Amino acid sequence: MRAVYQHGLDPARRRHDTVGRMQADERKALTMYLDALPRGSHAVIAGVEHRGDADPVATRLLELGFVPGESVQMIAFGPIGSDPVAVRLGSTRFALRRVEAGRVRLRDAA
Amino acid sequence: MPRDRRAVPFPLRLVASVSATPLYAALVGNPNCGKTALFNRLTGSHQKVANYAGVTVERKEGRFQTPSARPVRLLDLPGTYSLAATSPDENVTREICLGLHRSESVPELLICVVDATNLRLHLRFALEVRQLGRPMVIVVNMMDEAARRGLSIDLPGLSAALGVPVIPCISVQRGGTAALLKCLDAPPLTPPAGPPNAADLHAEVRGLLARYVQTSPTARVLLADRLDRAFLHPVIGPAILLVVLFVMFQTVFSWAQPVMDLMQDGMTGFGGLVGHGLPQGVLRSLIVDAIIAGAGTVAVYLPQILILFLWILALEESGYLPRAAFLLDRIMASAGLSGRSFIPLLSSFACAIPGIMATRTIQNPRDRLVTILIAPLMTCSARLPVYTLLIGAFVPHRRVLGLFNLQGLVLFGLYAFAIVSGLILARVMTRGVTAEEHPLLMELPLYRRPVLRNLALGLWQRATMFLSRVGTIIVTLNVLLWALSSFPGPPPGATGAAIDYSLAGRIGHWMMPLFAPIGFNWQICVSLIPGLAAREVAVSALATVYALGASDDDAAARLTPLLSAHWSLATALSLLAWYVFAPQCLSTLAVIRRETGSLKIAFGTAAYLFALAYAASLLTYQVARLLGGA
Repeated sequence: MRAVYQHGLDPARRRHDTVGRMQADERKALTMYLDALPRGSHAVIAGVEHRGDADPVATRLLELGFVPGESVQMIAFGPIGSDPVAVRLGSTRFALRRVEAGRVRLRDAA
Repeated sequence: MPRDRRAVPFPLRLVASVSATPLYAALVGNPNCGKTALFNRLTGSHQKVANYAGVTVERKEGRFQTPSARPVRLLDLPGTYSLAATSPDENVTREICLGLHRSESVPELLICVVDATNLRLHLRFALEVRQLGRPMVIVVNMMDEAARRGLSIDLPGLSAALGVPVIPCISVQRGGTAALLKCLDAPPLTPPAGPPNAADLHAEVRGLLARYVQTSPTARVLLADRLDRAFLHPVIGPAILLVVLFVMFQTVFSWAQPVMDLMQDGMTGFGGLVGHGLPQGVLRSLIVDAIIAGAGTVAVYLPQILILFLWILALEESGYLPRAAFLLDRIMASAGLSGRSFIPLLSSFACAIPGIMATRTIQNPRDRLVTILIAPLMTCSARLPVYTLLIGAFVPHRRVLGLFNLQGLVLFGLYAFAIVSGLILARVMTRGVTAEEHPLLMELPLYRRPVLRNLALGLWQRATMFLSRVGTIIVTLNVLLWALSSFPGPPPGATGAAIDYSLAGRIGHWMMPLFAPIGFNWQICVSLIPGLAAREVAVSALATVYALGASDDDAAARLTPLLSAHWSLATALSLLAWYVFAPQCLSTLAVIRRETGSLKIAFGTAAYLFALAYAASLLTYQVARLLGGA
């Protein structure tokens, strides 16, 4: 079954977060993930979150260059349910499902 | 190159080419780095395509000579993003590079191909390969494209920093591989010099790019952006895809049909010609009815397969196929598959054979297997003659709601039933697999104009593979079926059809107890046996059983009144339901055996399709009888 969750409120995300308690939770409510980036917008990657102990998707994301400091741009949404999404990372484009993009934490837009 | 050869005195050149043991090198690189184009450029038609032992990963090996006539044996390893493998093909690359593979030895030289326009991604993999400490060179491919984009790369600087030769290359251009060939004349068979890689490969790549690459954004990049804005648009994108698919299948049917008819006529004519020179008897029947007709069955598939593959290769080379997969991912995800399964399934509506062969574009092995397993459910064109015959005989020609033709509605219903069952079955087969374990994560490569040479090579490989591997199985099975339907011959003074006295006829009668509950009479059972060769043959087989003469073109027209008089409606509906699942296509099973490398999967497919067909027919027949259709 497809996981349905709201940004920042996903219990799975909290479970695997190792830093902080209250403060981190408050901050997370404001944290943005790649799946919430509007079309056409740019953002800078803060990190990739692992779901579970060995998360092959997170590992692959890192290998593909979704690493802190890189700039991403949302270029397209899929025709049904806006899923999957297409992003541009440097000069490379990737298609990801929303669950996958939801692992990529973005830096606060300053 | 020719000038270089002339410079070497003839006897010396001969000695060099005879005595030198070939250099064993392997191409490695990310997907979409242009590795295969480079492989094609270097080895031309001197390629051997096979599978790695035990897995269905394509193994490509080629041979060529360097300017000084040094022979090179080159392996094209599957593309991978890292040496931490997540799929069987990536695992092959990993094991061979690490020297862990059980049947392949470690290459003497790793040729790591990177795309000059995508160094940020590709250089990371090159650094990972460098960590292996094996002799390697880095080939910076697509230098022409980089220049067009205003990228300037300091190759000597990069080479000094990495301690390995860094060679420019344009694999799509004649002579674009000169520098690489020159390097292979005296290959650097020493491990990389200099300090080992930093722990953070991404940081190291960033450092290298900052020092050795200068960029200036130009209009080229914007073109891809503009194209993506249309192709990936939520409304325009699917509309374009629909047009592409429409044109594609139009050509598959309309261009292939005349050639197929021509080949069919040619084969029949050839059979007649050969038959003329032979005395009437078993030998003539074997050669004409079994071997030539069997080879004809194989050959007529070829035009459709080639046209379909030309499209798929062109769409893949141009970079559009991943976009189509992007647009269709969500629909296929509802069946537990990904967008990549769409084109193979769609192709299966023409014929499951090219459809199953097209699953090679699906990287995920589970997705590929499930797609292969449900491909036979997509209503192939060979089922149409059977549908047409039965619908014509049993469904009244009547308007429904004053708008629809009832016969057309039934036909549509059969197609829809097949699609829905296919999707449900895929869902069942992928149950328990969540989206998490089943990533899409797909690179959308830049748009490129397909190179004719690569298309031609790809088509040639598909055609030879089909004819040699699948063709031999199909012809063999045809001979077997011919023998079953011909022996023993009818006794003197027999009145029924010859097939009724043959082994096939007897088997048909033996099948009766099994098939009586689903309403099949012995004539249907007997006709199912020659129908194993190709589904549409069942129509002419029925005509034979009803002693009408199989070769008549109007067999179907003459069968129609006969069937509506002899069969109950329940029987007809049951046979229609049977044909939705129609497990009896040996050619499909042969290609499944070939593509999966597993006889077990082929038999498993036959068994599950048979079970479904039987269940559907049983249900249809019994319900129809209850409702008074008997």
